Amino acid sequence: MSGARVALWRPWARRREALPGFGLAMGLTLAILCLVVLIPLSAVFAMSAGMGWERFVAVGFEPRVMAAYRLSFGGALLAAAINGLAGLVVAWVLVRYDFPGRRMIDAMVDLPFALPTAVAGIALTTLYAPTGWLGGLLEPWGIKVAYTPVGVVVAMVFIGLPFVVRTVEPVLEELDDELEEAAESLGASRWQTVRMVIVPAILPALTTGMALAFARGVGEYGSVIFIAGNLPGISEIAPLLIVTRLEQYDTAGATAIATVMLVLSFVLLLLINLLQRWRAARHTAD
Amino acid sequence: MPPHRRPVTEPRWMRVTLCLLALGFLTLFLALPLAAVLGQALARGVEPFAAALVTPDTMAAIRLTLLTAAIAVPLNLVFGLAAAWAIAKFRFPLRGLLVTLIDLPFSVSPVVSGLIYVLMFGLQGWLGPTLAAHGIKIIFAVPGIVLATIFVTLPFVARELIPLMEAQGREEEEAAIVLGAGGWRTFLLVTLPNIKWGLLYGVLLCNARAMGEFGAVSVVSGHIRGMTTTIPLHVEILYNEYDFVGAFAVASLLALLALVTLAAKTFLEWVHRDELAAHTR
Amino acid sequence: MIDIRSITKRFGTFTALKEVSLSVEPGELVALLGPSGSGKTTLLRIIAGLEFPDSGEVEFEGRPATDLSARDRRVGFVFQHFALFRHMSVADNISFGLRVREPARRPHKAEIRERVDHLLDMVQLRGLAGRYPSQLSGGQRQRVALARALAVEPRVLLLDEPFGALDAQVRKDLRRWLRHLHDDLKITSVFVTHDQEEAMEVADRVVVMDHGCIEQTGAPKDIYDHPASAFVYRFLGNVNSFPCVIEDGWVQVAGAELMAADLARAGRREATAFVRPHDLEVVPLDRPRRGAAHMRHAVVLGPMVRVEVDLADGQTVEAEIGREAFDRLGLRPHQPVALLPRRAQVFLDDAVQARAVPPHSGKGEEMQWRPRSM
Repeated sequence: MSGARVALWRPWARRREALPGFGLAMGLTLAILCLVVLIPLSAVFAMSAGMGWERFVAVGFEPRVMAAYRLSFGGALLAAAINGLAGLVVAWVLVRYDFPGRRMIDAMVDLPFALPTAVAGIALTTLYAPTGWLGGLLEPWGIKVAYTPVGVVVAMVFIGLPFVVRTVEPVLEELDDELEEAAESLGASRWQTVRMVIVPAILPALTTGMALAFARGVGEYGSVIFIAGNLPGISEIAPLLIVTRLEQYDTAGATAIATVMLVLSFVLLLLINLLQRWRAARHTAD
Repeated sequence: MPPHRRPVTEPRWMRVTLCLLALGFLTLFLALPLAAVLGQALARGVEPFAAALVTPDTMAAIRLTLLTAAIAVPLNLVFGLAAAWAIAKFRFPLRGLLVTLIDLPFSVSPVVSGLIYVLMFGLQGWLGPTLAAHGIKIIFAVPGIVLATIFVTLPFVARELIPLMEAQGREEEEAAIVLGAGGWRTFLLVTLPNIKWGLLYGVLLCNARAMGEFGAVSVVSGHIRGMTTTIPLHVEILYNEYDFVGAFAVASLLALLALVTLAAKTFLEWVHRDELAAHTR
Repeated sequence: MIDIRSITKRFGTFTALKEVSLSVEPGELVALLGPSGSGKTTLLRIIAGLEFPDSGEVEFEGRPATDLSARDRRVGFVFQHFALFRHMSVADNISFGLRVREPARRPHKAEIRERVDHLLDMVQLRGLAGRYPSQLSGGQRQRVALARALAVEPRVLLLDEPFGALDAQVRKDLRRWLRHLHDDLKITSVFVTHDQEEAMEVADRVVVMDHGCIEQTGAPKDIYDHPASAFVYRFLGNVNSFPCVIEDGWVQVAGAELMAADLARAGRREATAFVRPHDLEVVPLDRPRRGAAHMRHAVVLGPMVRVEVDLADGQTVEAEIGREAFDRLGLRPHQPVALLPRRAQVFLDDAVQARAVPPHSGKGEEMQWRPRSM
């Protein structure tokens, strides 16, 4: 072997590793990932591509579908905004204040992750139906939640809450007390400290949490369909429309809607990754 | 960890207001729905509740759910371990992309997760006609349900283990190798004991999702009573038939599963905090 | 014992080692000394089989070992952060290497226990066999790591920054202890360090590395007295650098002219002269004059005094003088002073170097100086 070998960076060249098992682990990972995730996902795009652009637009953007997108995206956006505010307050209270049962309440925040969506769906519907505990209270004021778009937003708020709380909590926890003490010693009022010191520090996490909640809300199915009432054009969400099309043996229609939603998922995933990079950059800059 | 007393904080009225706001919101969105499930299940007393649980259809749904989880969870365990070993202990090009791809199922709508298998194996799908010719049924049958469940739960174990094993580094494994241990022994004697709580944590969350998945399974199941209905699908069927006591009785099983999962998860976070990855999502 | 021949190792586009060759004799204690990024840890890991070179050969006892896995090399490796198995007791950590042997070569349980007890005695940790790593101090962990590496009776002991993660006091004790241990066991050892004092104190032979190359190899004293390059000179201790002019074998450094016989034919050129603080004399002047240096500050360090002096060009240099001499000179802040190097080292490039000394060197005759500015 001569030392005069050319210095080439060969990314796929087999490098000797001291730890064994890379090949086996990587092979297994890629095999399962391809078989379970990548190949089936590519089926959607292949099917869409085979449809032709005009047909795709015709079935993927017809009025009923557009109304469904509007509800899914608009509702998820509204729910993410509500969660941004409420989640921030919840995270703040859980991190900053001590009160009886704090630990248990903190654990309960993950309930929407753990509770099957169908169960959440029927529970929320029962609560907000005109005959339910909350629906009955709201009825005299003329506010209808169940079987209206409002119900859709309620279900999306439920499902998105932990995303915001769980992304903001650790950042609030790590926030150095000295920052606030420094601000106060420099003469800032409490409100100024919160506005100028704390909020900027947690903004990347809050935005990430809201983006995650939004992504979850857009695709959510189980908890929404029971409370939505599913009136076409009014309270029918996009995922439900995919199911409806499938039940009508309209595979093309289902595929077109799914493609639009998948593309959006990927864009959101990219956005969330960028947000996380923003957070990481903030972190190292400290 | 209880929050330590901070010298700089809000005035008392502000603290109380914020606490009440947070608690009110959580009551409205977490406590009340949970109470509603149990309340409705027991609305007509214990007997109809118990009766709804022991119907043959319910028992079949429970069996199918257990079977699905029994296949999906171990498979995800293997996948998670393999992925974490490759990603956390080695450096290679496009490593970041692989991590993103593993997380992909979490950002796909459950309905789309089911649809992709219909497009692959359904009668109008890529492989459907070939499979049908050989008498293999995947969609509207148990294999489809299992596949969809594997898809939606794929990231759980991996995403718990990757940051954990990355933080632990590879020095201990290298020490074992230098001392003469082989690959498997190094994994069993050195790696596994270091990640066991993180692994359990991931499996716990994976299992909860596997048993509770609704959207993806709903698309591929075909809703054949007693045959292709998991517990969540069975809840839907009962609810749509206006059998509210039955629906909520079965739903309370799932709620119980959720509560047990939360309790075990909190316990793990509490006792083995330093052996779990950061819990940011 | 270990022969390394023209090893090159790259990580991506970064070259960690360039054509490095090195031999380690049996029973030797060798230090790989260099700043971070110099390739010393990579070289150690290649010897251990934890990294594999892109080109070049490794031989153990005359037999090729380049492609041998770490598992089969029979080396003991002590990691920088010890890498103790955190879920195993001290005894289990130490016996690990014996327990993972194939049944035919595995000692009996009683024998393992005996070996562990012996090693615990040797590293002075008797009675701590049942503890877990988290219950030990840094120095104790270090010694467990050492015992674990020695348990398999390795052919070579490799230590990566063995004292890097310890407190200053523990470091000193362990250093001496390791030297004694090596004297007793006579096991061929290589350790990596960035601390020149550590390398000088512990090793039989020091290998100075920089930018993936070996700069110099030799006994500690030789390296200190005859550094091969500006880098080695700088790295081995505090140093002041002065711009200087070389003419016909005379080197003008600070306020003095020194003779460098090696440079007699170098003609006239400008270079940098290096002077160690203890080779720099400080002479108080009565009156300030143009271009004179000024005393800035003095720090008493036990028997020595470190004097900081501002040069006319704004640079600050350090001189170390004895406490008595300092008291005799009566130096005060802001006082104008002249600097007289007793000895300087000039490096023109890698090939030419020279030691510059006063004309009648070694006699301690201060009057031989010709302070330029007088």
